[in-house]
Amino acid sequence: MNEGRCVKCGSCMRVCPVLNDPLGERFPGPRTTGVDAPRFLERESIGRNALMCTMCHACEWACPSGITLTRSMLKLRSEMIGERLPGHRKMVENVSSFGRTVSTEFSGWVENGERTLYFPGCIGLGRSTGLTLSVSSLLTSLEIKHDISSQALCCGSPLVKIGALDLADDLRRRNLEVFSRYDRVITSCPGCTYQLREVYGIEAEHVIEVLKGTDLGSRLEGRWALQVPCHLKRGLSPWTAEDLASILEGAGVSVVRMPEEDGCCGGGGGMLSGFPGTSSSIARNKVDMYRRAGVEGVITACPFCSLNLGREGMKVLDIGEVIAPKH
Amino acid sequence: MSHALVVGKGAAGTFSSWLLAKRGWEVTLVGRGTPSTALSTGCLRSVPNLCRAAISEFLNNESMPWASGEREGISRIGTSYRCWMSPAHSTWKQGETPKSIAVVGLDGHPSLLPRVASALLNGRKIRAAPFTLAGQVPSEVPLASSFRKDEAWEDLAEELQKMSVETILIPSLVTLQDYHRLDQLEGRCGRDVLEAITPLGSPGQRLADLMLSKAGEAGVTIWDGRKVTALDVKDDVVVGATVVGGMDARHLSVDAVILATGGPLVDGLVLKEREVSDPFGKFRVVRSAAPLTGGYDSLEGMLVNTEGRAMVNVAGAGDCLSSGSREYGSGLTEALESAYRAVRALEGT
Repeated sequence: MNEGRCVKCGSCMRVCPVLNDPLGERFPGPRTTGVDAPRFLERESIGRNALMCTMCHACEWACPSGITLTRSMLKLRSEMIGERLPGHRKMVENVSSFGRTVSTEFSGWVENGERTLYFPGCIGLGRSTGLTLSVSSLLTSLEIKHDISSQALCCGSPLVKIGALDLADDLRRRNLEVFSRYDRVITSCPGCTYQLREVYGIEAEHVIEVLKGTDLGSRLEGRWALQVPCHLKRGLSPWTAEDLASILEGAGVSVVRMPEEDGCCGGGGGMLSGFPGTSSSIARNKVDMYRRAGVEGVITACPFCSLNLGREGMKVLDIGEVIAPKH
Repeated sequence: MSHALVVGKGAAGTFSSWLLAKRGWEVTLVGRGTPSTALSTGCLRSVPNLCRAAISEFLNNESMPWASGEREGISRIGTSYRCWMSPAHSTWKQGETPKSIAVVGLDGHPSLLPRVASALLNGRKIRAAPFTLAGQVPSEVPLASSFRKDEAWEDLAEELQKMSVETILIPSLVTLQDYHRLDQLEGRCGRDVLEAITPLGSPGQRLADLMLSKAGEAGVTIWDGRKVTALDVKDDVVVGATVVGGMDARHLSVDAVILATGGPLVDGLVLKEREVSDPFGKFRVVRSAAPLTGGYDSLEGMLVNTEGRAMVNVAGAGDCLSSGSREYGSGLTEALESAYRAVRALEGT
């Protein structure tokens, strides 16, 4: 790792959404968990507050020395000892018993032996099933015939975030068997997309990448702000994150751009399950900010962002729910 | 329209992008990580000799008014700070030292040390008294995050009203968007509000944010969070660049390049032990035994290739250039002046 490059400037701490939240002060901060602690022999007993990070990559973007803080933190998480947080324990139990982090509510499986697989991810199958159906019909209207396989399991990303690497690896092996039947994998969750590309080596496409260059329209009225997902902008591609705005604008949606639009919603990195109070406090502050801007609601491209901001009473739509082909 | 690529989003990169865009170039600005501009005090210490009017226009904005001339302020530990240009609430006109100052810090937070600062000010015959406000912000947590909401400012104003002094020195608390809160605070508490001079805090970040937004307003395409990993060179001319962001990469065709990648940190010049080298492997670097003086070699504003010939369309600006001597605290002004020279050199081609 490259922690030795730290110049102690504090840029990582100034941008951290957890440290900057009133309920985030127990978090030791990105410099401690991403730079200092990983270099100590006693790191494994750092304590559970070190998990109080949404893995939003803001610290990594801010670091003038190019330190890969997120990577260091993930390694630290895999080395930590002691009991898991209750929410993380539940996640491990769920994956061990049925292969997904949350119970599956979705029932619209499509298993026709198509060459394309739409992979909605655990939240898309367990919490935001409406979003999944919208993306599926959008793909159909774009003449992309696809399966939604009941055999595809959690991508493993949430397990990597809580340091359960063995379980994540097991999921990867089982998923790769399913993926081997397809030529193309389309996702609607940036976290899944990142995991499939980085860990599986599969060129999975986020739905924004599928939509780019297509003639699209929208019937959405009013002014809408964006919630730019962390793992889309700072994980996959900042260009794809810019496409979120340009696709919506091209489809005729009135998009209000805000400097804070790419700030974390508080839902990632195992925060939602591990520290629900802090997670919703971060979301609440974002919702307050959107409300002050007087927008109709927020458009995003991540089931976690939809879920976490939605829980605080914000009207949140996924890009897959607001646009359709023009023909 | 000619397309320029500017690498680096600190003072030198943003100012040269802004100048090029004003002169009709199509500009793409690529930068990653917090630039040293954002780690500075956010004030210009030395007077620019070259392009004062352009700098004033570049920094002019509605959110944060500036004061220039012979200015003086107080650091977070109470030492004197002199500069040529600062945000209006950071300094006073030299010779108009406040009669009495209340130094207000937050309990246990290192952003402003009331007792130390007051003692130093008293030692300089400036009447000052320390005040510590109750607070529970851990020292690692940036103070600005506790002052986002109106209520926090109401509470602060109420506390400050009680103080019978002319001027109140507070820690740096505000972002660029929130700068107007200092005027409001002054109105509410009826005292002059002075912000402590602080490096590594919000004043530097405000300056960096302002410069980037001015470049954006001038029409510069900003590719933030991305890095130029390779430059294509044909016959001493750079014709293209590879830009990487996240897991993605793009190729860009360019007519001119300004490298403003800063001092020898990771994304700029490569630092190995005491040697600096060019990460692109294309340009000559002057190595120096003195600290902070090594960097890219240049001939009449253009970088020099490894064979010693001046490049046709590549200029350098800011800290990545080698410099004969560097005066303490002159970095920002030097960066802006060298950006101006880089643009002039390119326009000559």
